[in-house]
Amino acid sequence: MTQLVRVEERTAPLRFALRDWGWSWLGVVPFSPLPIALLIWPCFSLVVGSFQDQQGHWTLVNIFDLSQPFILQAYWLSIRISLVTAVGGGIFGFLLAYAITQGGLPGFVRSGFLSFGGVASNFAGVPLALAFIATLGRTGLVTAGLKSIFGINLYDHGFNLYTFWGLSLTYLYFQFPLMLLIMAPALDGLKREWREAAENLGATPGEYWRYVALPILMPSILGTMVLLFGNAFGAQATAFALTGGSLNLTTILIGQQITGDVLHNPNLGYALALGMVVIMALSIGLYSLLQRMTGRWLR
Amino acid sequence: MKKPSFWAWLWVGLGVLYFLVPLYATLDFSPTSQA
Repeated sequence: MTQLVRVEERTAPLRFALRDWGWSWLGVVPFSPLPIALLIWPCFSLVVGSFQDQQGHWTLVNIFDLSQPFILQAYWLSIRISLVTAVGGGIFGFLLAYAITQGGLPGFVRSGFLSFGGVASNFAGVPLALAFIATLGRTGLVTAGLKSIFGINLYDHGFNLYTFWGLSLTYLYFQFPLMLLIMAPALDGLKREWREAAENLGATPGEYWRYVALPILMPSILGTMVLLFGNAFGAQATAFALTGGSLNLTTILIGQQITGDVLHNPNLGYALALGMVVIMALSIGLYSLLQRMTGRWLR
Repeated sequence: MKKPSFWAWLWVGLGVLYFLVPLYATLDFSPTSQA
């Protein structure tokens, strides 16, 4: 009898969940072709293509080929540039989000930044590359301005827009607005009572941030940085337009394998993309985990 | 209403520069504006 009760207890939530569903899932059915066509089918063909040669025979060669030095270098460069821009964009985006939410600035600053942040976080590819060439290229506005006003030639001091750091600066243009957009609501979620309670207990503003606000926000900050990592990791058009393929990034390598004349091996390209999907899936999994950790505090 | 801090204005100023300078440079760079 006791066992029956236990089984009943265990199955009750499942039946409850099924009853909750009812027929509401039918509403999703008309939209299902879209994720199938745009997400599931491309991923499926990517996985299948990774395990086939160009004649369609099953093989593991493409997966083993991922350990070639130039491919490992491409992954490593992509990971480094994603890390640098995720941390740099994350810190600057957080400070900006702090300034517009907690800094006591006029309301129009906040609404202006949030609106423009939405645009800038999607500003990438050829237009962004052109904008940075016009700004920090050899004859760009800032380069020429610094030279004529202060006599400083950036390129004589080792700076080059078409290298790792130049590309990182360019990526930051769409990275920090994304951090700003995600962190502003999280900072709004900090309750005034927490600050008041900390102040009543004698905490200074610095101590409030160190012992109360930052520990609550940290999973959200780190989670968003993981998202920024994924955002930079998948970028291709900006890097290709800016460096013309001189930087060996994974996304550029995939393009060379799939459409290039010299390195043409689409199936190795699929395997490279599969490796990226795995890294992106890990990033998104980590992001979801960290968001869940902070979610219970910010309700 | 909280008084705006120096640091808040500093970060906002840097943000405005980062947002607008590349856009202005593009405008300045375009052939139509130089014609």
